[in-house]
Amino acid sequence: MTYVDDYPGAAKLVRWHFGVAFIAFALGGVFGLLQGLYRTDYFREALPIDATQYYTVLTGHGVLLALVFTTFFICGMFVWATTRSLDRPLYSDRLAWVGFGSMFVGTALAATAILNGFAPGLPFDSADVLYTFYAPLKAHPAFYFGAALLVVGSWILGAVYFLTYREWRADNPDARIPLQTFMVLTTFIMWYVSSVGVAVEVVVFLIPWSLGWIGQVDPLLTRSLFWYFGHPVVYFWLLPGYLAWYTLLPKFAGGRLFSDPLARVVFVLFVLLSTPVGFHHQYIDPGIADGFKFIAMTNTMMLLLPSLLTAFTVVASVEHGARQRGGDGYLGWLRALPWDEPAFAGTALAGLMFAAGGFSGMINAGMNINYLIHNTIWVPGHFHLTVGTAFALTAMAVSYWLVPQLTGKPLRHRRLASIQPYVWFVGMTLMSNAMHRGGLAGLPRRTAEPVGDAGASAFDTVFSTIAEIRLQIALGATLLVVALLMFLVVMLGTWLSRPGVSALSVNGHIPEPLSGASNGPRVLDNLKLWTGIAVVLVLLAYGVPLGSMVADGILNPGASPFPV
Amino acid sequence: MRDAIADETYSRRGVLRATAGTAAAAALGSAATGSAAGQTDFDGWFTDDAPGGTTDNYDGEVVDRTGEDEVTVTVGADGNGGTFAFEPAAVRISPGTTVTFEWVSDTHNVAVESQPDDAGWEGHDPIENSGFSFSSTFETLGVYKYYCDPHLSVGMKGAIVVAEGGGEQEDAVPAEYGDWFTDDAPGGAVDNYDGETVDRTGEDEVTVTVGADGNGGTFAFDPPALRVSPGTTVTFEWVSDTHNVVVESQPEDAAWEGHEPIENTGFSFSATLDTRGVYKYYCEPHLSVGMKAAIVVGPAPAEDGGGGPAGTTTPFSPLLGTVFAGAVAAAMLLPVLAGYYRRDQPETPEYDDGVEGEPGAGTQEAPVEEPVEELDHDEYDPMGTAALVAVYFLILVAMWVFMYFVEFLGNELTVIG
Repeated sequence: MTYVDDYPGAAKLVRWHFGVAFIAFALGGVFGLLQGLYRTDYFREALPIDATQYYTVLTGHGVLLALVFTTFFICGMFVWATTRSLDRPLYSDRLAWVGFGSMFVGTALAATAILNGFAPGLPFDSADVLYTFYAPLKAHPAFYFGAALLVVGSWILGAVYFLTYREWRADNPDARIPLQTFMVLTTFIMWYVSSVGVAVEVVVFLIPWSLGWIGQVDPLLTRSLFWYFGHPVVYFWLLPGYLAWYTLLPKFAGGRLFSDPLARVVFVLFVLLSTPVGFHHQYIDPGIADGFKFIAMTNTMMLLLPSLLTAFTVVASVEHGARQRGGDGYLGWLRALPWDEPAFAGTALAGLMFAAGGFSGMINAGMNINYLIHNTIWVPGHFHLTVGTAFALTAMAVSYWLVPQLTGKPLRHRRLASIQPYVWFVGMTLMSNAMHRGGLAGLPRRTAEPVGDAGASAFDTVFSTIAEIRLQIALGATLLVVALLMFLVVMLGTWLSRPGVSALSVNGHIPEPLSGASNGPRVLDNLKLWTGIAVVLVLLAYGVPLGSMVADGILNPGASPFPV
Repeated sequence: MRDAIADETYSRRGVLRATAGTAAAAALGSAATGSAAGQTDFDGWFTDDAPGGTTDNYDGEVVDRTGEDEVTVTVGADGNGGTFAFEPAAVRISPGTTVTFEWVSDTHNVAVESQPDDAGWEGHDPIENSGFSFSSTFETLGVYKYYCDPHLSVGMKGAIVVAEGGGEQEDAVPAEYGDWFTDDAPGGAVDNYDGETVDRTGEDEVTVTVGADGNGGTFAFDPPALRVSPGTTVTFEWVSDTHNVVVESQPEDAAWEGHEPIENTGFSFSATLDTRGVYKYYCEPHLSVGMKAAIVVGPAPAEDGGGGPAGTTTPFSPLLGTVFAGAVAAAMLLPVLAGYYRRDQPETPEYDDGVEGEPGAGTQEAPVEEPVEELDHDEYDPMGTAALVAVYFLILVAMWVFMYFVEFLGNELTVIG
């Protein structure tokens, strides 16, 4: 008996979510390679894009990976986590399918609008607005409707998780919330609080603006609303990764989670602090008082706490596994870990890379040193470590373990699967370190041009040369796409294979934590309390600055953007 | 240290400029505006300054009929408050073209006001009525002005421009600006550009006003789009403050530098443009409000010469579009395909918690892993984790130190500058 036998309806839902996620992953990944080669000037002439279409590719890469791949994978994975940990089917499969349908239609609309950038003349005008879609860049309304439907669909899925939980609570009035469900619910509280920002931005401003109903919008206001959502969305990507690191990685390592209450504290901290931090993306924006930027910085730095708690708890759990497998010594236990298991290797390497992403994140968040790297290629270097590896590589690793349980088919191409995380890791190491160093040398982001070519002396690297940085980026991007293709071969092969040929090589058993939920205070499970505090913190951080932006006219920019 | 910052600032700006230039240049190839119509003021012939006052049916456009053998001008067409117009009021033709004047209302003639020195056109002085017509062939290059004597007072005036270029398309330079004047280019739309290219071909000296009214203030080049003959000297005259002239793009072998220093009212400079092609330029401080302009050097092509329909944007690559549309369709078909391959899989039963007792029911999982050595909460000391946390902390410190000194590496390892 595996998951698909217990919950065939839910398993089908998860499979469809994963299917869409992997298709988006494939297309977005290929776009990434095009982009990497084009702007590093490798095979530039041979690539089927020009400098204008580079931005179409860039938008496609960002939207398909950071918004579509992530959201579908997360919503699917949470269906699995909720049903498994509550040990009951969903409140309503039908409602969950409605959510899936909304996300699917939204994705199709937005993707069509973006792909129109390649061939004007298709029904929608282009939408080369990048995945950070704020004014003044304007897309075809189809893009904004698509984005709105995607978010609304995820809200519906979230409602299904909460309704399933409510049913469970009625049957188990005194039990502690199972850990995975606790993580799903807290993640979605955070998601509801934060995605309101992008919903207002899109529905109130961008859709009427793109339809021509209103002539202008206040760029600072829409930008602030976007970043109100734009930073918490990274935790929406990250927390499912955390769910895997806390509840699955210890099992993959052969051990047990070190502490269940510590995991709950971490997720509560993310509910509280994820949203009132968005201004740290706008340190150089005029029109926002420095004090509020400082509050955002303080909150961001406080978010290091749950991440460092996670680093400790997860590593201790992995070490527990290594010692149960017979490992010993201060560092010798690392050798006892199952590094040839793709699920373990992928999740562990993703966690390791996230530690590196944490370094650059601290620099992004520091108000003064942020100026050094703001809008340089350092920033994509940073988020390819976080969403591009901490989330993406974890998602792939979890798939190696979960997809057999969702399909009832053993994993195919195991050897390919066990090499794949390492290829990704090496590729990302090359690409990301080069991007960070390029950013320190001042190379801008969001440009199609292989800058550094003309007047190369303007970009002085700390050591080595711009040419070497470009080579590493191109090589890294290529390896990443190779790893992506390896993953897709394994998934497609598994998916298309016949069921029932042999037993699975995985099991769905998740061992109990060393320190269980009952060792932590009950208040941790008081979701209403945490939601309330989170809303208050948001009002403190955003109330006055948003108020001042609206006060000068809701559609009026605050000041003339040119010298008069 | 200060120099290092300055260098970096300069280089980033340079990059932005370079980026904008390339993007616009790339876009240039994808658009064909095909507007061959020129514009000129004929030294005020159609304005209040000339006898008869303003010609209402002249909208500033010289209808371009170069390259055609026969052209018709209607005499007594609707306009100027009655049937008192030549239609078109101003027309450009190639040398050797025969122009036929056709009367469509009564009591008009064609009186010649001026013509090129060595031309001998006589017009048609007798007053004629509807149905009459006569033809003249124009050989001599230049501007011919004429009017209707009985209706001069209401502005019934016309002009014919005989110019090289028609039929000899290799000389012609189409007024193709790509998306330079639209929202798609840096700085957005140019409000004072109305789609017309002012035709000043044949003149030796032409003036462009810098900082004229437009674009929501004194943020316009006037005229925003200008056509001149090769070798023309263009003088830029500042009439308001804080402007410069930055070249966005120009023909490949041209080397116009514009005037990058920012200047104020009263400043002027001249440039002689010899190379045929399209020159785009803008005012850097006011690019964001659309202070952009362009100069076309060379004669206009014939209206119906050349391929694509005027004013439309042709897709950059239909092949690529097809490929991507196909990829999207294939991606959407994939689930169907997968379903086809999986047709042999038995239908999974509905929630079937009941079959548990049945041996062999459902999918067989791998056995749960047994630890080599069971470790409980109290027996477990995460010393290895402590060691790794210490390593992480050291890396963290090292990275911060590295980060701090990055800014100083250009000079030396110092914290006090």
